[in-house]
Amino acid sequence: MNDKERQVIVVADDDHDICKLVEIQLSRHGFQVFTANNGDSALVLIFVHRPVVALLDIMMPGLSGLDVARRVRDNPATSQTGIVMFSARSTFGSEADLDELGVDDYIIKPFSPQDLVRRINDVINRRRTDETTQL
Amino acid sequence: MFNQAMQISEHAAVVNRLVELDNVKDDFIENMNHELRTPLTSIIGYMEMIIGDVDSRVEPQLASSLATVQRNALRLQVLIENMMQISKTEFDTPRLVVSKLDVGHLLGDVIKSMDLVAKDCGVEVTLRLDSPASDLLIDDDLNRLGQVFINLVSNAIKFTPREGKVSVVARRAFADGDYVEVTVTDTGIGIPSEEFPNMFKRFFRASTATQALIPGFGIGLSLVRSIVREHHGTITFDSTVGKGTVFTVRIPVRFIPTGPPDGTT
Repeated sequence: MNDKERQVIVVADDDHDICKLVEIQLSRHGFQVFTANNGDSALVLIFVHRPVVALLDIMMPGLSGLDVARRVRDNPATSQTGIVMFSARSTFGSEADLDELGVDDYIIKPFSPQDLVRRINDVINRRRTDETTQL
Repeated sequence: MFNQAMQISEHAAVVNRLVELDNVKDDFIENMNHELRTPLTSIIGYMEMIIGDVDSRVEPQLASSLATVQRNALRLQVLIENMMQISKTEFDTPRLVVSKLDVGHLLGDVIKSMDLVAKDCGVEVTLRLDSPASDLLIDDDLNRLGQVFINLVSNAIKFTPREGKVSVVARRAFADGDYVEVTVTDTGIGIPSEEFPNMFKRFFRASTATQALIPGFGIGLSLVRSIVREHHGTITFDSTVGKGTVFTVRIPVRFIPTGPPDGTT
């Protein structure tokens, strides 16, 4: 089992088809994927599994993607989680919110599954580099 | 005095109603956008994975059919993007959320995203950077410049017959200011010179395109010019029927946040 096979991603989207699409694609690239269809479940999965990246849809029933991101950042145990937001809207609301939350990347739907993997790997590598720099 | 107060009150009520209607319109457009993009995400995403699983040497007909589905899904995506951008360009105030755009990287991504479409159309697409990538950084208002190059490259592919070529070249230039220049050149069907003045008008389509039965709505170039103008840039083109077309976009390296766009084309 290599390093990537142990890396966990939590994916949250209220559209089941898109959730499954992302799960299949990321699993094929060696990630362990946990999926949620609402913000509350996503938060539980993140706190339990401590993913390297959480991929969050902005609009979900219950807690929104931004709400989840805020709580993840506020918890010292998960504050360093990579956060990628995605949305089928053409804007992500307040750019200031994204900056304030330290969102690592945001993706507008539709997206290419190949591109998604590349961007998640970029986030992981950037966070790894940042950690190394801080040591 | 009383009548004047009544008029002001009525005027305020009309303004409030118009603002209300404008908000309803914005909500409708944004909801439509969301409802269209969500199923398209599944179509494009699953299709990309299936195409990756099919061996075109073993099942060439299936591979070709899937590529056709994907090409049309991507056309739909470009159309949705254009419709959204046009509604924003027309109704919204200019936005000034400026970020640095790596033009070389962006063009690479644009061409990569159209790789399957280009192959399906039998058109070769190449990218050349005539300046170091670090010199090709420009100010982009809310990532809107990507839409310019997506439209120009997808048009070039669409209007170029099989075995034709599309070449994209980017360079930093200083002749009349400091800007990044991108040219998109194709060996396509071309545009009659008498139609040049109409090419940026919305819904106008070149006679060569309609005669060749190439589908489209004639909104892409209109949108491209709007976005380029908002960035205080220019777009020009030259074309010869039967030989091809070259579009040249020049965008200032630094965004100018004040004053109206110069409107130069």
